[in-house]
Amino acid sequence: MTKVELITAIGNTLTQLDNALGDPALVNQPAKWQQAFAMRNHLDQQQRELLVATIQSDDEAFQTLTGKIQAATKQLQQTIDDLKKIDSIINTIGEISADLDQILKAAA
Amino acid sequence: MAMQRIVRIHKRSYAFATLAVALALLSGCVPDQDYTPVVTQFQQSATMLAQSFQTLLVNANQIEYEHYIDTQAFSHGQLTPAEIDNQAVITPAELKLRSDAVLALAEYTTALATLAQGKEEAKIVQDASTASDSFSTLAADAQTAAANRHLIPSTADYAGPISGAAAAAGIILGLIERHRTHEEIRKSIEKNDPALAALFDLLGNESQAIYERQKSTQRAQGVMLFADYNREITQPAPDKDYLLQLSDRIKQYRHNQLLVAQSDPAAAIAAFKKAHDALVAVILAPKDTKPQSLAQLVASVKSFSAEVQPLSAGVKATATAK
Repeated sequence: MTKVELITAIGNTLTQLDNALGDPALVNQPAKWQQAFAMRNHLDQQQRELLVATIQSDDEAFQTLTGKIQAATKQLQQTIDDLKKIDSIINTIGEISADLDQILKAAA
Repeated sequence: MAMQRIVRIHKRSYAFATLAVALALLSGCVPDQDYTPVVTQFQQSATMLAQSFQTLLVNANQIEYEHYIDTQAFSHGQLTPAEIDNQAVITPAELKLRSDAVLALAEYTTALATLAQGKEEAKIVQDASTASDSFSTLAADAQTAAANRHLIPSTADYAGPISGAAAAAGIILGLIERHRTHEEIRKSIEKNDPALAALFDLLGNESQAIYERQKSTQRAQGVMLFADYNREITQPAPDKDYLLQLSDRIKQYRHNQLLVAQSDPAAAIAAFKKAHDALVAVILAPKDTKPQSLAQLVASVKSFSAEVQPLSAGVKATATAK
């Protein structure tokens, strides 16, 4: 995965999360909505940081972490439509975010 | 500076008008009007792309500032001018580097187009000289942007592709300026022109990342608007004026969403490169395959124009839309 592909993958995850945040099933659960929105903000900030981060995309650690992110986004695609599983969705986004934190930490 | 650009655009218009005749001659046909629109289309598309790319980059910071303000206001977070400024993703020097790179590539391609006509030598030399000046400016920009504080890490990566492109273009343009034979120039284009590919690729890649970011910030605005609206209607006595304000903003947001969807510059930059490659193919093609090369050039320019027109409209509209 390259840096641009990672930025695009995060963009796709944000799109899925945005669709969920507009779904009445989640809108009617204010506490869960706030939790998902906070995750959205964090992921959004990470995407901005990625844009200005120096990334060695041929680095092994980067490839391992982006591999995990790819797997998590695939898993998210399968669960995001079922908002009854919102806790699981939030957990998956949390995993993506934690991997991104490691990438950004290594870039700093 | 603005006057210099107008003069350059004027020079390009002249070069492209004469190129129409040249292309017809290269194809072995009697000159007709069929190629004139193709050449004009390329010129207009290259100018539009340079302008759109510059606007897109200028917007990049503004979009981040506004996105940060919206998010903080929505979450009742503190706002300070310094924190807003910290959201910038590109410096003025970085911005100049990238728009000058598009301009230099457009002027170099223009010089090749002028060369293809095989006469009007003064014009050929003049356009080659304009392109040489653009690459000199670009090389200086690359040094300034890399030496100063820069936000986008790949700014430092520009030095390689720019120096490669400037050296390659310099050799070709130098031969043209020194009135060397067509065969010598043709061989030099064949050998050196591929060195420009890295600069096209870098611009395309980077613009895709900036565009992806723009899409994410734009959607965030929608999430907050709908949440505000839905929160207000659950109040015991919803504020009708506020709801109307929100509904107007939601309508505008949905309109902007369509504009952002057509503001992806990567496809236009790829089409720009294809049109450049098709022009080089016309210059390099043996006589018996010139008609096919010309047909490819016509198709590539049409495709370039088809990509750049909605991009220009989208980028311009998103820069002014609120």
